[in-house]
Amino acid sequence: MLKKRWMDLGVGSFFILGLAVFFFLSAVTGESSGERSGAYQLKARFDDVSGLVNRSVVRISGVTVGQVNDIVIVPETYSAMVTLTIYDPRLRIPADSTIGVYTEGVLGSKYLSIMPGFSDTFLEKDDEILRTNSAVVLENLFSKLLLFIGDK
Amino acid sequence: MGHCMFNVMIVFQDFVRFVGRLILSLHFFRLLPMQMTSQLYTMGVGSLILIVISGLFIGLVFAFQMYIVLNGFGSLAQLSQVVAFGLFRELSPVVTGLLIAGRIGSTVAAELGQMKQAEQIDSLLMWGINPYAYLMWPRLLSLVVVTPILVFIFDAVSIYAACFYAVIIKGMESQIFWTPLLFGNVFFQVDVLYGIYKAIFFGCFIGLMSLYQGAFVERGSSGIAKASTQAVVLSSVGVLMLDYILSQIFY
Repeated sequence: MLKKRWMDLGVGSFFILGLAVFFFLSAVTGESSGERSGAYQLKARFDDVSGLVNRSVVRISGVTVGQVNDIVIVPETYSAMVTLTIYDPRLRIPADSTIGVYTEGVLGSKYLSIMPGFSDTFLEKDDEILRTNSAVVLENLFSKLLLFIGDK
Repeated sequence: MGHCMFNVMIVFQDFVRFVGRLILSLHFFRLLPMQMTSQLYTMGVGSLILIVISGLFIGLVFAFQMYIVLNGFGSLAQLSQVVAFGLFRELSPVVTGLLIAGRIGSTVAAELGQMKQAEQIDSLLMWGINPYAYLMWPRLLSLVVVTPILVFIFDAVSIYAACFYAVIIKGMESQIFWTPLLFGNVFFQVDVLYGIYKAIFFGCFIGLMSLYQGAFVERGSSGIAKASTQAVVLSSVGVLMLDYILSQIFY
């Protein structure tokens, strides 16, 4: 009988340990954006988003506040439409903000950075950020530089 | 060659017949708490130390190797994400599967083979007890329950071991380890649970294979040895093959 009690104790603690580890792992790893409560989406149209991918981060003043969800081409203008998610619903972005594609380090991964504007009206869910700066493509810079040198 | 193929066909046919009988016996199955407890105890609590030690050292060695590589690129902030990706998605379910195949698969096959040879299974039939429902379902069920929990434990232990290596041994900031994990590209619903789904399939496969080897044991003392060897070999190979197939399906 004693042996059975120890067994029950062992199996019970095993399951409780499993449950504890479940909560530990869910606390330590991130949640996918759709599951975050109150997260809202914005849109932005760029001429060039080279290097930007789904799950690229969105930053304001260097702080990660969201991520890129979707990048599609707009057939009429051949520009790129980026859908991004802002995690925190309390973080409101002025309507005249500027968004740009930047590079981490010299050759690092691309990210989006929002420079807040001064407007008193704020962007709502699914609104579009109108002022955009496209990605700087290194090859274009080089070709311009070579032309410049060639002219001299 | 033809003979060999014929043998494989026979074995496969036996296996399918076994699975069919097992499924048909489901409605005879009554959940006996005492029986389940003892199975869960030997399978779960008994494997705990094995899993913890393996997780510890695999976490350490993985962090060690990745630290060297990432230090070369100067991107140590990615360490926890790289380690978590590799561990949660592939390493932890597969290694747990292999360890369980070795530890539990052989036990189950030898136990059932011994029962079969001592005609205990036949005497159960004589009493009108369905041996599939009485002996095999509890083992299969507890294996399917235990494997994902062991994978969870493996995940947690190995990520802590990686953290231990980076923070204590290499003197990295613990913030740099944990923050990218929380705000980076490792997601609980995707990466952790993906490994858990795999583990459920592995547990099911290892259970079926070992039970089959035990139930169809050959006569003589070498029969049990052969059954337990076959159980371990076939479930280990099966885990690796299933891993690839499931990765293709889920991702």
